[in-house]
Amino acid sequence: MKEQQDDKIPIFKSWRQWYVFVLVLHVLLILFFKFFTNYFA
Amino acid sequence: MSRPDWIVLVVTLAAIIAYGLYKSRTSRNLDGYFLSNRTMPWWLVLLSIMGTQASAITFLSAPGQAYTDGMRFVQNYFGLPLAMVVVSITFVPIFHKLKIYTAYEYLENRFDVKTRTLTSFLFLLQRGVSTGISIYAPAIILSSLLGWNIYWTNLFMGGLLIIYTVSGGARAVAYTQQLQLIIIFVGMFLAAYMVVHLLPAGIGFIDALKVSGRMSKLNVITTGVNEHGFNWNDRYNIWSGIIGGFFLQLSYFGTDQSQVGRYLTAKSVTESRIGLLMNGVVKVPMQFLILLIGTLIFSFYQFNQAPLFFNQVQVNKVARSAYADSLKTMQLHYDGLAVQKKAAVTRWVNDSKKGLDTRASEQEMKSINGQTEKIRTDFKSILNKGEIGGDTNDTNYIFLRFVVDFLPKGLVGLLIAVIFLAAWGSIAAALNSLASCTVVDIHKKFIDKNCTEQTDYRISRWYSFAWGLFSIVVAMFATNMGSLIEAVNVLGSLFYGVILGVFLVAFYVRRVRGHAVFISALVIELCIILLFWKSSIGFLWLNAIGALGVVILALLLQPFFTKAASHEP
Repeated sequence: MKEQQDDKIPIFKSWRQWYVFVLVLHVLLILFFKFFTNYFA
Repeated sequence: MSRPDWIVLVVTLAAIIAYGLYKSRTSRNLDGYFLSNRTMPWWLVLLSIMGTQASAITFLSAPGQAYTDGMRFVQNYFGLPLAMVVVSITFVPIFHKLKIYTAYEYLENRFDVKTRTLTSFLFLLQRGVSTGISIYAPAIILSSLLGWNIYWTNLFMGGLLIIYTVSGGARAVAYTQQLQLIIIFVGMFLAAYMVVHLLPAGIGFIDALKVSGRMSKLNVITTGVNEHGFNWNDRYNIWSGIIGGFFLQLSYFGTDQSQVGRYLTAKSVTESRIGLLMNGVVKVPMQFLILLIGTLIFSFYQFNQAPLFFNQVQVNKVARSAYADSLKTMQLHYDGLAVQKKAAVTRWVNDSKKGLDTRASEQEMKSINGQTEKIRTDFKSILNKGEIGGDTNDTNYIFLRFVVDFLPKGLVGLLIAVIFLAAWGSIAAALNSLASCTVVDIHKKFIDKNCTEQTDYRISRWYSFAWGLFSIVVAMFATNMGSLIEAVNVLGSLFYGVILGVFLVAFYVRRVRGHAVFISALVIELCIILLFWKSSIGFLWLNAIGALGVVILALLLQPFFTKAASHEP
C-alpha cells in the first residue's frame, strides 16, 4: 500500500516491534495490578 | 452552586463552544465534513479516540463503581490493547486503501448491499440509543444539583452540544475533544488531590489505599472462580475482560463508526496506527486512575459520614412518604455507626502503623461496614416499593455528591464542567458518525443517489441535527437504568458481537458470501437478544458468542447457497 511505503515507521524498525511493545507493556501492567491487588488485600 | 462555580462552568462551556465554532471552517463536502479531509496527525487521532470513548459516564459512574464494587471493573478494558493491535493490522489498511467514509461501505464491496445495510442499521440503532444515555448522564447532575426538571435539562444539554457539532463536523469534533481532554485531566487530577488532602491529619495516600484494600475495594484482578468453579455470571474478571473485552473492543474500534470515523481522519495509515496503539498503551492506566479516585472517596467516607443514599432527591421522597419514620430510625442508626466506624478505622490505621495486631480492629471495621451496607440495602428496598419510584441505584451520584459537598468553590464548577465536556466529546463524535452512516449508507444509497457536493454537505448537517434531537428524546426515557456505564456496555454487547462477526467473516473467511453471512447475522442477533433476556450470563460474553456464532453459522450455511447457485440455470 502506498501510504505504508511512503510513511516511515516511528521509533521502531517494524510494525511487528510496535505490536510486541504494546502487548509486553500490557502484560507488565497486568502483573503490576496483580501485585497491587495482593499487596493491599 | 456558588457564584464562582457558575462563572467557571459557564466560561468553560462557552469557551469550548466558541472554539468549536472557530474550528468549524472546513471544505463543504463529505470529505471535509465527515473526515476533516483526512489531514489529522496521530496525536490528534489519539485524543479524539480517547475523547470519543471516555464519556461523562466514564467520569461519573466509574468512581461510583469502584466505591460500591471495587476496582475490578478495570478488567473490562484488558482486551483493548490486543484489539488495538488487531485493528491496526487488519482494519486500518483496508479502510484507508478503499477510501471509504463508513466501515459498512466495505461490506458492500465484500458481500452485498443488504449486509451493508443490516450492519449499518444495527449500528444506528445501538449508537442512537446509547448516545441518548450519554446525554442523560450529565443531565442527572444538573437535575439533582439544581432541582431542575430532568426533561428540560436533557434538552438544554443536547441543544448546546448540537451547535458546534452541526456546524463544524469531524474537524470541530476533533479539535474540541483535544481541549476538552486537557481540561478533564486537570479537573480529575485536582479532584484526586483534594480527596487525599481532605483526609484527617496523619492519614496519607498509602493509608487510604490500605483502608480501601482491607475493605476489598482494590480488587483489580479477580479470577471469577468460586467454590463451585468458574462463575459465568460474574461480570468482571480477568478472563471475561481479556476474552469478552477483546471482542467488545475489537468490535467497538473496528466496526463502530463513531471510532472508525475518528481514525479515518488521519492523514495516513501510519498516523491511524500510532494513534490506536498509543490508545492501547494509555487507556487501561487512565481507567485505573479514575477508578482509584472512587476507592479514595470510599476511604474518605470511612473517616467522614457518608450519606445514607447519595441521591438526595430519593431521600427527600422517602422523607415525605409513609416511610418517613422508618427513614428517621435508619438515619439515627446510620449516624451512630458512622461515629463507631471512624473510631474503628482510625484505630486500625494507628495499630497498623505501629506494627500491632490489627485483627480485632479490622474485624470491627468490617462488621460496621457490613451493618451500614445492610441499612443502605433496607433503604433501597423502601425505594423499590411502588409508591416511591425512581432510581434505586445511587452509583452514578457518589462522585458528584462528594464534589458538591466537600470541594472548594470554583473547583466544583470545574468538575461539573469536566462532566459536561466529557459528555460532549463522545456525543459529538457519535452524532457525526450517525450522520455519516445515514447519509452514506442510507440516503445516498436509497433516497437520492445523485447528490451534488453542496447537497451532501447540507443534508449531512441536517442529519447531524436530526440525530441530536433523536438522542435527546431517548435521554428523556433513560431513567431507572442502574449504573449508566454498565447500561452502555450492555447495550453495545447486544449488537457488537454480531457486527464484528460479519467483519471477521469478511476479512478472514473468503469463501463465505453475502446470503450466508446475512442470514447468520439475523439468526445470531436474535439468539443474543434471547440469551440476554432469558439468562443471567455476564454481558461481556455476548460479544464473543455473537462474533463466533456468526462466523460458525455462516461457514455452515455457505455450502447450501453454493449448491443452490450451482443448480441455477
